[in-house]
Amino acid sequence: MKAGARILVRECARVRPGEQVAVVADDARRPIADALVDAIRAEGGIDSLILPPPRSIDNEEPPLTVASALGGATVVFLPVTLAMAHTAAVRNAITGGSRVVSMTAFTERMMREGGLFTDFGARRPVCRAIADRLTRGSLLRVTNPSGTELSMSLEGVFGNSHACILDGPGFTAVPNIEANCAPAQGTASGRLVVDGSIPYYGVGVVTEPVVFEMTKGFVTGISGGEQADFLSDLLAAQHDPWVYNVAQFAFGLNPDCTHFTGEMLNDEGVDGTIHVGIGTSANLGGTVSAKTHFDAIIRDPTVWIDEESIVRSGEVLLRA
Amino acid sequence: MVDSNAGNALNPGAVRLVEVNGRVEAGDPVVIVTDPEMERFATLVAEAAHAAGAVVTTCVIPVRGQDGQEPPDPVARAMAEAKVIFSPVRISITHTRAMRAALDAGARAILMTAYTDRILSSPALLETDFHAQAAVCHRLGNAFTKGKEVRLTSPRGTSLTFSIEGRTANVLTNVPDPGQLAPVPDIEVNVVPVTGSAAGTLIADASVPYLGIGILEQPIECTVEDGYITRMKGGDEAVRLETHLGLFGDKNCFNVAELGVGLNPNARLTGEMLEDEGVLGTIHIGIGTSHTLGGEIVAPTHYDLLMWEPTIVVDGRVVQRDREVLG
Repeated sequence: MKAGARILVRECARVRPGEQVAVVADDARRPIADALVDAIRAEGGIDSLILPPPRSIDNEEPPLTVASALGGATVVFLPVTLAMAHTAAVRNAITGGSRVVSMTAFTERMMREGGLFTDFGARRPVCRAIADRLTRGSLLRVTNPSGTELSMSLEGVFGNSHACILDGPGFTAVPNIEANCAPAQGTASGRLVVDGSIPYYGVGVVTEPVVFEMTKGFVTGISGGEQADFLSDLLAAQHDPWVYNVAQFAFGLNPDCTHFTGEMLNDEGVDGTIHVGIGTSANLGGTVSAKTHFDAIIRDPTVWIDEESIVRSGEVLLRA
Repeated sequence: MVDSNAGNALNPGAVRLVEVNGRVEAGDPVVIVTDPEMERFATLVAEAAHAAGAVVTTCVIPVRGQDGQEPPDPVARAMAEAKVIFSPVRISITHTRAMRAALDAGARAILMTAYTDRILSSPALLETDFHAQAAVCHRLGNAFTKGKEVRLTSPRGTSLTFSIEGRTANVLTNVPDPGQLAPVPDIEVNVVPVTGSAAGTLIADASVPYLGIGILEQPIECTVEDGYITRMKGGDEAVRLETHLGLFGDKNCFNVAELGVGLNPNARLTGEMLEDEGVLGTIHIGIGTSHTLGGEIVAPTHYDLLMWEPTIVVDGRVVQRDREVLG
């Protein structure tokens, strides 16, 4: 894992000598965290390994001890089993000037092969170009062969480019090179037919399409097979209406994430896919803080922003 | 998340540290600071604290290069938000700004520097009534804080006098209140002699739990003049200590910095600092730095010389005779 850790520390986070670097991990990701600590030390960074108490669901807030620790680091790596990316703790650390590398549910395979070993710099221009289109656009529409037909407003929306390289304060999840935005609150309507992956809560690669009905920015129905039922029950158990908020629209742009494996940050990065995030949007430029946040990825999308086709049948058309 | 500890027996020593010494309650934010060499102990304490319902965050830091080196900023920030801190580390972080700030913010700290399995299963930890001993600690502490002149003697021939006028005793009860720290199971009351006031003879015959010396085979006899040790006599151990101190070329290494009184009735002399210094029926004279205890002297070192069967007289009144604390 040494080569992978070196990429994360040098290329993605650009750790400099003397920087305070926190690695937040848990027992399951400990070998990955230890590899990061070694790489941080090799770059002259000052390493702290933080092991927070168990949390119950992805993107639940960590305790104040952990939130404060993040605030004391200029670079944060998050190789955690349950996502921490969409929490106030991470948002506040970024506001305070931290560079945050999300590595949720990272696997040792991902440290050794695949998306991490792509040329992030080469993909950065197209990622930025799509983020720019999201910022400038008014209306986004997406379809796919499984029956997706969804639209949302981009009025007042700001696109984010996360190309896995942090030159300054900010956030990126590695290795999913991703351009995203929080769509205008309360505007997403239609149907999202998820035939790719829902790499959260143990769902993984979709075996029978999960159909999300969406009305005025909220998920109003979830149907399909066992995976749909599981998800529906899990969200209901949160007793939080905001967990149904349509929070995010994102383009996966890593050419070395070639197929769905059920690994979150691989699947979200698969080139030419899109995913829709549900729940918290506050860390993407939105206003909603919910009990959780998850993403649902579809295959072979066609995406229009206003009259321009950005992706057609899973092929990214936009050029930087 | 699956609780990987479910069904496993908790370590009794760790449970004691958490429940009796740390007085951890459900919902308390607990921070454990450890390093790769001592992480086993962190895991045991984390399991016990988790079982007590605490919100436990463990911070693994590189082994410190020297005593008192600051922990990294993220760890200092985490400590400042803790209600109870445990520190199983190889090299001490006790005397750091981070610890001071956490205590000032109301944390209680259970110090576990250089912990061992033996200490974790010792009667000193498992069988001591820490609350009962806390009352004894406070009695002796008050005697020191109010006192002016100390005369220390022992059957072996120690006869040392010094002033403690204006000093406040440090009372390490092992059941700390918010803002206090406790090197469990070293129940101890200590006081810093007025700098330059100590005079007489000190004969250490118990242990020097540093430099690999441990339990003494031959007594070390020290001549003390104007607050400093001016001569050491004895066997190989005396030579080793004096040679080491001489290497620093700093007179302050020989400063009489501390009178420490062990008050744990179940502690036994083993050569390990954390237990030795708590042995009831011993006192230790600390030499070198005193500023971490409230004195003025900053030296590159601080070592303790332990002796048996002390009689401590404060302003003409016997406050301790061997294992009997009269306060």
